[in-house]
Amino acid sequence: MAKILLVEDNEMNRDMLSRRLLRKGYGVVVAVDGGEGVQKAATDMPDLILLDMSLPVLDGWEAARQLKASPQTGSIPIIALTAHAMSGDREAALDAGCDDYDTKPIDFPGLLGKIEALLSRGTGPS
Amino acid sequence: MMPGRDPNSVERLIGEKDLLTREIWVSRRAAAITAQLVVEQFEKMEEVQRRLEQKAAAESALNALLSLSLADLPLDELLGKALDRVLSTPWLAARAQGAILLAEDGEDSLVMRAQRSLPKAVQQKCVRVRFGSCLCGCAAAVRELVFANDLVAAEHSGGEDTHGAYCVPLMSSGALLGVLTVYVDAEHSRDNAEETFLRAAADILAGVIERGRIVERLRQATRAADAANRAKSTFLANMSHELRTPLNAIIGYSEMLQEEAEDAGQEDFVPDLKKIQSAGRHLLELINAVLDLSKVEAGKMELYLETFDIGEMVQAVAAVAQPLVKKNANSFEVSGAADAGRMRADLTKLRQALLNLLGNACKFTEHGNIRLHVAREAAPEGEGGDCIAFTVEDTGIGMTPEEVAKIFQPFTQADSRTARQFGGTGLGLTITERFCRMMGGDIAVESARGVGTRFTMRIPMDVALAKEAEAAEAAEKQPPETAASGTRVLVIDDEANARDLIQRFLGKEGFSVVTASSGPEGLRLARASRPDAITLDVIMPGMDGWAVLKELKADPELANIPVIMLTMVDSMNLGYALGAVEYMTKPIDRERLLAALEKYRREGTPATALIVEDDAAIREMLRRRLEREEWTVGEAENGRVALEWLEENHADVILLDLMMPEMDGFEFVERWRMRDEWRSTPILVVTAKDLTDEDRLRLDGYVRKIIQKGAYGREQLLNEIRSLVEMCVRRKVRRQAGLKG
Repeated sequence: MAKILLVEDNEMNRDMLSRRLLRKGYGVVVAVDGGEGVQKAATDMPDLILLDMSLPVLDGWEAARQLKASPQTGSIPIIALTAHAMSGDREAALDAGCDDYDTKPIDFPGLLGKIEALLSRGTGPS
Repeated sequence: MMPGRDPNSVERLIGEKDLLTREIWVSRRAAAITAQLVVEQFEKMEEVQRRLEQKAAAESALNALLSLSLADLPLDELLGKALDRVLSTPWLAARAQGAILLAEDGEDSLVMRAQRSLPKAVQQKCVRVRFGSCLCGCAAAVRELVFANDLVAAEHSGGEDTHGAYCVPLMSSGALLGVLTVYVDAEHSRDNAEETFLRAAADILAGVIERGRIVERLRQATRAADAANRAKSTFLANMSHELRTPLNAIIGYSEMLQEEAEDAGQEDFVPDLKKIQSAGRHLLELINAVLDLSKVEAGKMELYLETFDIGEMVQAVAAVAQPLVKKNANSFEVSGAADAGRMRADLTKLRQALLNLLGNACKFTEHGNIRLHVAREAAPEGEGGDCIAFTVEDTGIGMTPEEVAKIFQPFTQADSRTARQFGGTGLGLTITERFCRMMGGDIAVESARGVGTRFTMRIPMDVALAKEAEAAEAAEKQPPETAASGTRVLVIDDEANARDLIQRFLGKEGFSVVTASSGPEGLRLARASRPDAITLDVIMPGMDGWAVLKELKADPELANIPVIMLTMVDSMNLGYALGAVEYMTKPIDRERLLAALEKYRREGTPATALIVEDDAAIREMLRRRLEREEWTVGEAENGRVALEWLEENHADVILLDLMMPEMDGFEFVERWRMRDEWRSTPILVVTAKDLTDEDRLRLDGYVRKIIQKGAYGREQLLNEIRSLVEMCVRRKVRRQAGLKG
């Protein structure tokens, strides 16, 4: 089953989302800030990254830029998790190289759909 | 006996002489008096003349003061200038010493705010003057003009000689604003005309001060308001984040527990967990609504346009609304959506607006009927494209005309009782209306108490187009240079992912991208927006890329738009045969696509080139060629003139001849590279000189390219320069945008 890297600094959100993903049968790796996220992406090579945008150390936008710039992690799809309708957040996330976005609070079935869509796309045209 | 009067008698003679003498005396006297009178008259005239001159000078000083009172300057600067004007009148100009002191709020003292040429000691001592002390303080205390001509240095601690002064209180509606002090010479005598002038000046000054203070207060208030507004925005953003984080957990964990309870067979927990979850969702809606509205109000809400199928969107909305419909045992009917086609708008906002309307209908209707009807409407004459009308109709409680009148105002529900009975934020309709307007549409309501309500929302089929039409209208009124913006590329592809990918990629490269998800839509957009280039997918349902290409090339108005075919199918020859300029197979090589499109990139900002060339004929030729491309051109006949030109102007590129009198191209380059702010400007050397290795070494690293005049034909040379110049500027534009090429 696919391995997902969840980068989220809020402990409850991290715990909740990782447990729900585990229940759905995904492998889950967690990171608590952008720096750790970039590092774990390289060491654990997940199939997909769920990336919170407001993160300490390295924010989500910068983390996405670094992930996409690296030849090693550049092809891993990223779903940005942004605050509701904060204007510009999602556009900025897409500009930073994220492949999709979802707004928090997460609508879990919706997020699962996006995860599956990206995973099944594999390495499409880039 | 008196002797008889002999006409020749001595007495008589003497008498006549006397008479003569007297007459002479009298006439002499008269002459003297006349002369005296004349002199006096002259003196009087001189005095009149002097007075007239004084009056004229006073009038011009007062006029200058008056015009100053309208100047938009900080108060201290205003006071300084006003003092200069007063002191410029001839009778004060000799000393040109004086000051303006302002009364402090609630204090019995004056503070010096402007002074001219006062002795150092006075400047220091009179920074603050108590009412009653010194002459200025006296004027402030008695609120009358005071005059003295025997003020001595002793009163101040040295440095000042004997002088006189007028001190005039500055009054406005009975309140003391300050004192104007002007110095005169010692022994100067008090003069009515001078006093009249100073009083008039004081009146104007009082006005200047009052206005200045108001402006100052206004500035402070504006600063405070700006700061408050920023604080509000930050607060809202932070608050929404802070509230959302725990809500996230509440909603998420309650959902999770529901799943777990269901799995573990503990179904009886589920309804309560659902309540926690739905209360959480409701709270979230409230927070979102407040945030949305405040963002709309602050002008911070942005549109995110996408093309979507109206039927699918309506179906999704109807599914979400279904539970609300059932709650009050209403029936629900949707019509007209399936064949409404596609539209381009902000999907999220439109969905939210529709849900708001449906939610309202459900809330205020029991055992009734709710209808959602979708219809395409032609735009009124002379306006942009067609509209989609969404009508939400219910058979609920309805509203009175008074209630209808305030339905779109924030935080008002038709009746305050309804809030208690029906719940809700009271913001839904306000936000719905704002969203409609943002997308260039509108919303109307009809209602009758006890009968029902009908909301009709009209949104342009193509919101981008509607906005463009508005922008085009605005652009027509603007000078043409602002109308030209980025290069427009129309992307026609049925696959959303591919569209998105190309749109994002090209957007980053500074193109403005319009997308169409089908052939017919692509053709429509091509006609409407006249793009500079089109990328066209081949395999599309319905009308495929070949058909679109044929139609594009058959339309004389569109035939010249370059088309780049993007496809999985390798049939390049067919593509070229049908008139495509490029043919690329998917997955797209980004660099190739970019290179293909670069050719059609329009330069949005007209650029400036500096031509440094001693031959006037060549200069002229280059200038004409570049001006044909709408370039601004500066000319210099040698390096020195070029350096001078650069001091005053900015160049995006420099065309440089090497052999020139006075300062040649080599020396120019040496001086030019010393200046950091110039060094980023690319230089193209255009020369007839056969360059030696040493020459090249001197230029190496500083010039972008060396063009040998002899190696090119005239037109070829010009074209080469033009394309190089454009390339240089394009690089600069991209660098400025902070993008990677």
